[in-house]
Amino acid sequence: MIDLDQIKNEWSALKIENSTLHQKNIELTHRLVTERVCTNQQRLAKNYRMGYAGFGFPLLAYLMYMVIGTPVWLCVVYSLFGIVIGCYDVWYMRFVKQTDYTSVPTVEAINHASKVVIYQNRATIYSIIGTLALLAAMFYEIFIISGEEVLLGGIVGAIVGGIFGTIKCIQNHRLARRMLDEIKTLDN
Amino acid sequence: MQSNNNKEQRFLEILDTYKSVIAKVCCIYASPVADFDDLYQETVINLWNGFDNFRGDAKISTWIYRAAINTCITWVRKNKKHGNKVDLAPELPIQASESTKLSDYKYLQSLIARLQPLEKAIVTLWLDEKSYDEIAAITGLSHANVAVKLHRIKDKLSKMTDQQ
Repeated sequence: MIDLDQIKNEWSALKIENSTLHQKNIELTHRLVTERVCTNQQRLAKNYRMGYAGFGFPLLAYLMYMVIGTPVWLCVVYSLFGIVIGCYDVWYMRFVKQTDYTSVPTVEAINHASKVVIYQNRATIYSIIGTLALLAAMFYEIFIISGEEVLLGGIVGAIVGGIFGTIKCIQNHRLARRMLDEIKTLDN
Repeated sequence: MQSNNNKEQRFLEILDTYKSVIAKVCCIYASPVADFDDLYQETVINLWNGFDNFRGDAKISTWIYRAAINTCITWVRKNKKHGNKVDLAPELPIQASESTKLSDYKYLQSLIARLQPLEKAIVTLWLDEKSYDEIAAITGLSHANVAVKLHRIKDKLSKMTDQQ
């Protein structure tokens, strides 16, 4: 049976192999000064910079209205959808980055990391539902206005965009999930 | 350029002074799916990013411990394929003193690897002879909560050794 108190006394005598660490520190520090080195947290936040593209949806809606005569109500819904997604992504990007893990207590770090995953899951569900509903309405209108050819182009675009979006979504989810992979709820 | 060099120098001095602390924490949290090197690097990057904001209102050691523990607890695993989770401590660069049995250390490390992440943090700080107040400051728990949790952790570790 292990004697914890005895081990505690000897714990401080343990040495980590130092020469490799010293060299590692020099190389790492030099990289930090000369390159842009990111943490996983920062990488996750960067993935949501794409959200700025949502603010371009009103322009696309205008083009759709002018070129293919999309109904005004659909253009408004499309624009609002893009703006909402854009706002959320920008907010989420800042939320992920806002916590400096060197300055907050561990409990707060765990809470923040938990919320990163929870908010991401919620956003994924809402955006999937919203996107499917919007696409269905758009395809219906496009078919009525412009016929099969334009609809076909729209469907191809949606599939390609859907594939890329899904891949990105899965990557973001994995990144955030792993932030919490070892964490369970705190004992009381 | 001058101030960058100064910052780099100061940061490196602190890093070298506390590299054992960072390494010990990363050792505790390292696993087959969380490389020691990855955890160490991520911790150093976090320290660098927070270096300008560190005003010295906490002890440097508190700052270092907090950064290392928080980084390891919130670590995002890379996309590695792995089988069932195995609670084995990886081989790490530890040298024991003459009086310390390395086998005892590795056995303890394998037991600690089976604790919850916050429990690992508390027991690591306790092993490093941090007071309850210091453990509370780093983890954000109350003094009383730290005492209760530490008691439960020791119980858990004892039960684990009894089962083996």
